Amino acid sequence: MRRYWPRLFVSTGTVVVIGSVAGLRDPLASMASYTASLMALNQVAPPLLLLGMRRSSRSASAIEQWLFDPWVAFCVFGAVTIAISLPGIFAPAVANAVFSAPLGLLELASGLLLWRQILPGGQTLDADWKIGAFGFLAGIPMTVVAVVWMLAPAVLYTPYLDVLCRWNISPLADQRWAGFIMLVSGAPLQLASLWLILGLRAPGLIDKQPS
Amino acid sequence: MMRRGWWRSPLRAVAVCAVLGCGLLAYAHLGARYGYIGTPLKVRLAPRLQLTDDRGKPFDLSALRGRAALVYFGYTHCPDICPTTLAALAPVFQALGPDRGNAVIVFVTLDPERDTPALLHAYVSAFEPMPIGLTGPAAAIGAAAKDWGVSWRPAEGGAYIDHASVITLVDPQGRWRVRYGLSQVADPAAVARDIRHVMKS
Repeated sequence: MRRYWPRLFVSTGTVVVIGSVAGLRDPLASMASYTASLMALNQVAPPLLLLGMRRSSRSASAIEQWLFDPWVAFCVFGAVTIAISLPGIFAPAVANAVFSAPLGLLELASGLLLWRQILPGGQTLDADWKIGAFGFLAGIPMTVVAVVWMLAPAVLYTPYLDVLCRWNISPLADQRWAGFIMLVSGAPLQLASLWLILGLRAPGLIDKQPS
Repeated sequence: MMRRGWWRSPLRAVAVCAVLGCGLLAYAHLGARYGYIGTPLKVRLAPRLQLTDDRGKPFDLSALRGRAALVYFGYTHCPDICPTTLAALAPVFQALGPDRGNAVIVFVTLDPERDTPALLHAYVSAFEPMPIGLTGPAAAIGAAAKDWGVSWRPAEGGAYIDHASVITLVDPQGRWRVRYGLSQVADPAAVARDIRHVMKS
């Protein structure tokens, strides 16, 4: 049965990607459903796809050495999270550039880079506590944005200001749901990271590969 | 003691983020994306709008080809957001100057039971420029609102309607281009610039 797991993971991850891309078609209908789609691409599909992929024993190419560097994963993930969630802090040109880009692709790519550092087979950090700290710190911007959305007393994004959102909820309630979805989506990353920081992984449970 | 070559990873991170940022800017620049004050929509043919106008005549949105249209769904008994939004468009048309003749406002009622063509006509006559008022069978209005992404629900026993208050800018080719909430039409010159842009492209 175990030999079918990789296929199952990849199939499920692919279904999540396809479903999420479909959910991105109408971002103005609801901030909550749009966030759910982005989070599925960023936090659900990447671990599923990575768990199902065969690990290569060949040495990493120069490009892979760059892309799979934990610093690169950390900075790209943080930058994508902040740029998409808080566009107002950037110059309008940068914000426009971000929102003219294929956001789903950016979320998926940054999620893959991040989860590769945490899941077995792709880790490049040499100690559990380091991997845990990496994941925990990387997840902080997402958690902060989620809490801000949940607690903000006003609607933060003008496109959602004057609409009655999907499911007939007010824009403020919609924003709070979006924050809750982001918080829940980020929870597995935070929990897995804490697990590693606290050294709770059973010896031999995850076989590491040399980088 | 610091490991030799410790600086490689931070340098890689900075380089990759810089490449990503430059790539995004280049993507936006090469796509010649105009920076709308409103929220850009995926450019596609606007849904059909075949209703009855405020003079009781059949109306089809395709009759407005060649002119930009600002389409708004509301109702005449609306106490606040509808009149405020329609009034906010007056300075936009002033800012349009000589181009104002190439743009039109369309007001679609969400309350066809009460909003007869005569009542609609009286209502839209109070605004400058005067919108085209549209009404029709409740089923047709409901379908149009759904197609145009306008959600709504009766409130307070049907006396009022909670509804999405958004203006959709349709270009002279009849395509969806931009959506505005009230807060996004606060800068009339910028909205006028958007309208001129869609008139040309």
